[in-house]
Formats: sequence, C-alpha cells, structure tokens
Amino acid sequence: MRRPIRIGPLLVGLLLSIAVAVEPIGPRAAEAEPATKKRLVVIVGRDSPVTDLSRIELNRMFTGSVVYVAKLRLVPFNFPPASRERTSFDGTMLGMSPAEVGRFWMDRKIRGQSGAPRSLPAAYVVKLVARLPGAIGYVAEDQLTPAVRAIRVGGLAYTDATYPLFLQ
Amino acid sequence: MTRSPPLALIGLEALLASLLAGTAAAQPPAPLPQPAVAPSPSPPPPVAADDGLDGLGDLGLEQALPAEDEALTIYGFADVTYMMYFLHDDAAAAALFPKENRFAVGNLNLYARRALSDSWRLLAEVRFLYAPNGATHDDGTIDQTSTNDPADFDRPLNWGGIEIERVYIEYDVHPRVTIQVGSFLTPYGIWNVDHGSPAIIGTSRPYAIGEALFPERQTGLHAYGTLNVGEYTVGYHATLSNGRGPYETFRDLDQNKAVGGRLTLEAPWAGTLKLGASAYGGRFTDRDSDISVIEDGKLVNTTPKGVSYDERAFAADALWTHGRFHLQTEIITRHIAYRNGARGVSGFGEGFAPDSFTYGTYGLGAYRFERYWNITPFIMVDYYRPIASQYLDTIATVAAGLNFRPLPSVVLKAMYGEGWFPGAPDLLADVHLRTMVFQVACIF
Repeated sequence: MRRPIRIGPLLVGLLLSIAVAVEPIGPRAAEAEPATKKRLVVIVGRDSPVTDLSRIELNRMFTGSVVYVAKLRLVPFNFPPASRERTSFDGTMLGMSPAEVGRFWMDRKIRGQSGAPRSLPAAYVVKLVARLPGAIGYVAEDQLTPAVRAIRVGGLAYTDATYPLFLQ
Repeated sequence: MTRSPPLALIGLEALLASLLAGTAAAQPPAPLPQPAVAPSPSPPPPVAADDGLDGLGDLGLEQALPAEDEALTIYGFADVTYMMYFLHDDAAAAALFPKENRFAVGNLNLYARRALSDSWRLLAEVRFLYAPNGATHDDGTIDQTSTNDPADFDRPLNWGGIEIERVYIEYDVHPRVTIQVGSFLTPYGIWNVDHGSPAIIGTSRPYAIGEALFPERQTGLHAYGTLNVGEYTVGYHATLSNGRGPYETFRDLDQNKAVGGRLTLEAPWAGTLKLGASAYGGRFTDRDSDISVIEDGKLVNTTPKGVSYDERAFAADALWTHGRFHLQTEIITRHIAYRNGARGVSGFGEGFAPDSFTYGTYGLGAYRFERYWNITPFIMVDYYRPIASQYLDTIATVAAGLNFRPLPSVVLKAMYGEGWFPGAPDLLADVHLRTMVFQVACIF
C-alpha cells in the first residue's frame, strides 16, 4: 500500500530550524541603549489638568483605549511611523518595534476596532497640543515651547536621572 | 495669507473636531471631550499670526472642512490559498473531502467605516463570494451559476454572491457604555473577534469555531465597555438579538430573543494575560410560512411549528503574550434541547435528532522572530466532540506551520495539518486526513 508523502512536517521543521539559527541574540532594538541622551518629553497644553501619567496609561492611550483624567478625555497625537520620535516612543512605552506597531494597527482594522492616533509632524504636534484641551503628545526636549507643559511619566520629571523616555 | 483671529479660530475648532471625530472612530466607550467638539465657554486665546497652522492644508486638514468627519474610509482584506490533500483516490477520506490540489480565492472582504459624529459611527463589512457557483450538495450535485452576459455578446460568465459579514451603527452612550445596533460579530473568545485571515496566525479555523457553537454573528443590540482599574482592564459585552435562525438578520420566527454576555480581564501578569468568559442562550426555529385560509367567511391564520430547539452555549478563553511568545486557548460548549413536537431530523439519517451536548477546545502557541519577514512558527491542537452518531465520535487535529509578515499588510502562511477521528466506528476508524495549506493574505 502506498503511503502519502509527508513533506509538510519536513518543510515546517526545516524552516523552523533556520529561523532559530538566525534569530539575533541580544536586546531588542527598542530595548537597546539609547544612542543619545536627548529626552522625549510627554506634553499637554498649559491649562491641562494632567500632570502625571503612568506608563500603562500612556500605553493604553496610544494603543486605542480611551483614557480620562479629571473627566477630560485625552486625545493622543503621534509622530509619523518612520520618525525617530515615534520609534523611540513606541519602543519604550508600547514595547513594540516599528514592524510590530504596523501589525498591531493593521490587525485592529480587520477586527473593526479603532485606528491609530493621528500622526503629525513635530511642529503641528506642539501647536495642536497647545491649543486643544485633552490633547497629548510627545516631543524631543529641545522642541518644548512655552505653549505646552511637560508632564511626569510614572512620577518622574523629564529632568530626573531615571526618566525612561529617550530619543534613540 | 491673512485671516482675522476669530475666523481662524473657528476654522481650527472645526478642524480639530473633524480630526477628533476621525480619531475617535470605533473607540470602545467614550464621547469626545466637550471642549473639542463645542465652542469653549470662555473664548480661547486668539491665534497668533505666526502660529503656522495655515499649513494644515498640507495635511489634508483644510480650514474650510466642516465640523463633522465626512470621510468614508474603505479598506479590506483578501486571501488566496493553495490547498493540498494527501489522499489517494481509493482512500476512505476521498469520499468525504475534495482530493484535488487547488488554488482558491478564499476571502475578499470590504469594509466601510464612517464617523457620523464624535459619538456616532457606522461600520459595514461585506464579503464577495464565488458561491453559490461550485457549492456541493449532500447528494453530490454541484451548483453552477453560469449565465450569459448581455453586456458582452452573451458570452458565458459565472456570477457569485455577497455575504454581509456585519453592519452596525454605534453610539457612545457614556464613557463606559457603547451600544451597537445591527448585525455584529458575536463577542466571544478570541478567534471570532480576530475574524479576518490576516489577523489569524493559522490558515483554518478550529472545529469548535468553524462549527459555530456560538452563532458567528447576531442581529440586534450589543452593549460593551471597559473599565481601567490600576493596571487591570475589565470589560463587558451584553447582547440581545434575534438569535439563531434561517433568516436571523431580518426575521425572528419564534419571537424569542436571544441573550448573551461576555466578561474580560486584562492583567499585566508575566507579560499580558487576557481572560474571557462568554455565554449565550437562545431559541432556534425553522418553519414554513404562516398559512391563511378562509373558514366560515373569516380569515384564519395558522403558524406551522417546524423545527425548534433551545440552546445554551458557554465559553472560556485565555490569551497570553510575553514578548514574542503568543499562547491562546478557548473551550466552547453548546447544549441543544429540542422542544416538544419540534424535533428535527438527524443529519446522519438516523431518525430524529437527539438533544445534544457538543464541545470543543483548541490551543495555539506561536513565537514571532524579528528577522526573515517576522517568521512565526506555530503549532495548534484542536479537539472537538460533535453530536454523537454511529459514524463519528471525536475529531482531533494537530497542525504546525509558519506565518510570515513581510509587511504589516501582507501575511504569508504555510500549515501542515493532520486530522483523525478517535473512537469512530468502522467507517472512519482508520481515516487520517493530511493537508498542506499555503496562504497569502493582505490588508488593503
């Protein structure tokens, strides 16, 4: 009696072995030591009641969940996907690489869930955050203007030595 | 460009409201913050001439846009599969499954999304089908929908159908309560919500999902929301619908509404753990149309009884992600009890259908690598106990494969699966079904 050819397990096993063999060892890009020490500052408007957000609140907000502070709905603004600011923020706060972020938002669309926060260039992020109550964004520390206010992240001011967000 | 400050400000408010309406699309709970959609009680500061916001036109956010988001977003997904069955012509399974290797366009689904206001949204999803062309009936006959195309000199063409996957209007009643009305995917488990082939790691659904122990979708009301408690997120879903039926999207033949619910907990335990429990109860009824006759000069209506049963379904699910590890499992049960005088006929030609208890479970583990198109080896184990019969007792499958994501919008899959029928009497006792499936799926 003829037996079916079992090429499937062979193929899967071969490709799996290759994948394991070539997997890079070491910290993920997002966890790597920052190349510069320029900080990434989370900003709100000057009149915003928001003074401090935990990492998990920032994570929720920038992954499609709705977060309220003092009955004010926070509306996040992002940088374009390929920007250093976006890559740094997503890597540290969301724990995702650019590819993972791309998959995350694509899959949410297919599930019928909400899309990603609006992406805007730095100049617009600062201006819109300054103008819109509830808006929240992030910029490199040298982009700070008097129109916006830096908030604490997990209780840490951006001037603290253990502040977690850096531009990488 | 010179503008008076007030006008510029009004334009900006409209722009931001428009912007936010788009941002808020399909967010679970929550109306937008009042200041974002309505003029502030106190006049905001005037716009400085050097504000730089004139350049918003470069972003597609022209000042003349109305306060509502009028954009209709169209997107979708599609997949193409190559399926190989390792069957010989004389194998018993060849009588039960198609044995030819083949390409197949599986899904072409189109979504339309529109934010009607800051708190009202619409989502529609339709699937385009080649079916009924090629649909095989129990007696072996195959439908062919060939017809002549009057727009092309009556040359032959095969027409297909459209399945409305879901269409609902959604309203944020409260930050913690959003209500959908329409046809929606039943909120249970993981797989049924993931729904689309690009978002699913494997190439085919586990039996417990594919056999729809819970209805895949319902028509009625769906309320849901979440509550953040520290690092935990608690979620709920409640449904009221026509339930299951032959025409459930527009008729409820027994006027007995089905109810369902789901509770979820997301916790940061060793990564992220999501737990869920779901329940559904409803009545299925399939009957002929009412019969009206004139008796003694009066119109008398009679409602045939038909086939009817009450069903209760329960499910539990867990999804654990830790870095690149992904582990998910679901267990689903369904109990059917026929009503007196409304028992159906067994699908196996064994007389009347019995009351039944059906259950199934599966587990899927995967690890996504960073390199080589995010290669993701995965393994899936599937166990299903269908309605007991003299031919079939249990279906078990083991599958392993690779999932690649060269782009966020493109997924390549290869999956080898082997299925058998433990405890089956003679007919299927030695049947092993082996398949190799390749799939390309994309989001557009």
